[in-house]
Amino acid sequence: MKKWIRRVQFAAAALFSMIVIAGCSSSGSVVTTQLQINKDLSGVRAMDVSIDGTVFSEYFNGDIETLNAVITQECPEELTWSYENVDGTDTYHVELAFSSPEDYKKKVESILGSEQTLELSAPDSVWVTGFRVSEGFTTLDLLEFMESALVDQGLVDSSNSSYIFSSGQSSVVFNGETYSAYDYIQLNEIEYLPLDKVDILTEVNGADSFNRSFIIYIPRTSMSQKQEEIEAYLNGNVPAGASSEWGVYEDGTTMTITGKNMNLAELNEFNAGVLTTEGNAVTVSGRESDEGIFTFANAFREDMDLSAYGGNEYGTVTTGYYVKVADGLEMTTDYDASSFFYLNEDNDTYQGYGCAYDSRTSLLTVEALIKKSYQIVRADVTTQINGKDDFERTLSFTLGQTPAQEEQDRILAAMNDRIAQIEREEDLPLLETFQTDEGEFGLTVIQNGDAETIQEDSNAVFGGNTALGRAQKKGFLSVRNRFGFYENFTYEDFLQSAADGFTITYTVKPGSLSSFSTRISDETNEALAIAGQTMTVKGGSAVYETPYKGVSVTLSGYTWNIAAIVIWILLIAALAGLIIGLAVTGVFASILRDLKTLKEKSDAARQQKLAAAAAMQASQQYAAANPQDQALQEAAASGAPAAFCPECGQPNPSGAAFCENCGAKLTD
Amino acid sequence: MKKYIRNPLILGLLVWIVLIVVLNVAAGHISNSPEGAVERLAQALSSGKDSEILKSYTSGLKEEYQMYSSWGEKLNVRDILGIEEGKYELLVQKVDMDEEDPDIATVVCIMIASGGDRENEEIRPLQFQLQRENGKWLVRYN
Repeated sequence: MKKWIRRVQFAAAALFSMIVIAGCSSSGSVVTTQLQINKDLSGVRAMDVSIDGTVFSEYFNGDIETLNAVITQECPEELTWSYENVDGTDTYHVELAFSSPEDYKKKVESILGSEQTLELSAPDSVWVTGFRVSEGFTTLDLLEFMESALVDQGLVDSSNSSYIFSSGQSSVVFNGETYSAYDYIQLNEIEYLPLDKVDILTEVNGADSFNRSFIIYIPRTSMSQKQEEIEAYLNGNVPAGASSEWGVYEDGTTMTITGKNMNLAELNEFNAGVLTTEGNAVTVSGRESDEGIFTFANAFREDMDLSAYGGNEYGTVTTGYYVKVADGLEMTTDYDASSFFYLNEDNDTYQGYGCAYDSRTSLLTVEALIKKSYQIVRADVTTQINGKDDFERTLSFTLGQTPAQEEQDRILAAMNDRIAQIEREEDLPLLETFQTDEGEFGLTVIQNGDAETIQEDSNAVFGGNTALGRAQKKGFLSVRNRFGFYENFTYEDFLQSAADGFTITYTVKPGSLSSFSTRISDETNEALAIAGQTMTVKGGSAVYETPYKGVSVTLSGYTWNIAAIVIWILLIAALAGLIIGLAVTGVFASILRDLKTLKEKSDAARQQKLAAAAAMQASQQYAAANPQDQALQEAAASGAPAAFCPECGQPNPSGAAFCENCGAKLTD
Repeated sequence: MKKYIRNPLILGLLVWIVLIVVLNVAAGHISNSPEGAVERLAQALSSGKDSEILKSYTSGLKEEYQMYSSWGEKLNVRDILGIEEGKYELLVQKVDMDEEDPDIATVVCIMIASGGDRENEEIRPLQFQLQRENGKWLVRYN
């Protein structure tokens, strides 16, 4: 029982304390708020501070003039105020006027010195009417300057500062009607007419050329409620130059509003006309493409405020954003943007359109990269070997379409930027454009120099890696020397926009007095054909065709050695000259004459020896026939031949001067 | 005989002969150069003779060859080098002498190999490091 008595006593004491505390904490002034919002979203926040006279005299250490002076001194410029005394109650009327929600927010943030939450909207369409306001601050926050000033100047004791103001009633006045609110004003007085869907169809024909349709799906229930208003509203939203069409779908009526061949400015006007809101903007800005110089990228961003069609309490409407891009264009995610772009091509809601967005929203932002690629249909690369280490290389890239002049300029500028990276001032690669008879646009780069120069320049201009070289056997006296040649390059980066069926036709010319001798076997030809390649080597040049973005060629051949030919001609000429010279100068005849004399002498000696042998034989025969002739016998015995008389034929002893028979003189 | 030697035409012929001999001698000196070393290598590879190929390389190859032999493995030098049989030509594209060491050079050349099991000529750019060992330029092995 005691326990219960104690509990009742405690409860009574607590209740008494609360009453006392409540009484003590009653404020010195009450602040009421009225936020008036006009249809154009301008308005006034009126804050009335009423100060009871007894409270004023109890807590305030001064008079009303002093208080007015303090307010005059401390009131922020964003606020205006006035003072009056009604029946002994001092009343301050403070106003914050604004021209727009942005202006309102800006002024509030300026007064409070920090970022504030403030949303204010008043859609006025057939789908949505009313207003919505959401504030993250109170009137007491806005009047805090007064409290601080009073305490700082000693007009109110700091212990009583929290009792200076207290919140009174808050209300919002919109369109002549008053709505009560809490200190933190949070009101949503928007009424919606249901709408099934708004589909936005965009055909991107270029970075500055669009077709767009809004298709608004209105259910039967809404049409039955406000058909005339809906029709009038939508017909009134058809911008000048646009077309519109009413239709039906299974649940109701559709309205299609279409604008065609619009540039960016026209698209923006079209959007503003249909959506009837302020927060719509389409922007397209050029972007450096990382996909080669023949691809142009543009950052596309579209902000749409669909709140005028907001068909539910959240102000959102089911929205579909469908995109169809023209041939040669592509829309992809812009990785520098804040949102991802994915085009669902499998969506078959609208023929040929991909779906980029399909959900409920009131504010839609689409960000993407519009890429336009000029496809390279073929490349022709010709390397002319001009010497041992001297080449002329011509590379032509033909595009399937002719870019606009501005794009051509961008291509040339990009190429010149690459050429400018070469750390050399002379003999830089030449850049030319060409137009084929079929209307194709092309770009030609001509390089000159040694292998190292060609390689370095190619790497700077085309990226990838280029290597080429020529080597020759050094035979000083060899009339025909062997040489080898190789060239390989891969331009994956430069040829990113290669078209289907793209080919490189590579030609290498061996130079004067040279010819290729490399034989391509049947097996090799078959293997090349399987890969869609061909290789033809004829003495004067080699031609290789490939569907790939690079070439790798090795060849051998022969080159005539002029120096050796000259040397050999000189040698042969010298020999011929020698022979002719010998003949002409008589040396040859002299030698022949000498040889003839020698032969004659040799013949005479031989005849003499034969004659001597015959004389000896005759002498010996004669001596044998005349054994009586002692002299002959002696002569024969001595081996000396007998001397025969030329007149009578009488043999005479050797050494006789005259014939012993007739006396005729004997010859030597 | 003297009257023939005095003849300017015969004298000219003699001068040509002497010139050719001198050029041959000079070519012998040129052969001991990085280019000559590569040329010798081509000849050695074409001959397929182990001894010739070993002579073209620095001593490391010989040591490795001997090591394999000591293990009882019957390899020829081409097997160690991974070079197929055939006729080799090494056409010198350029010679880069090492800036710091005059006994080291790099030779960029184009190899043309034919014969052996090859269906087509094998042509490809190659690069050799050369080293002067005992005054003679040799292809560096490892």
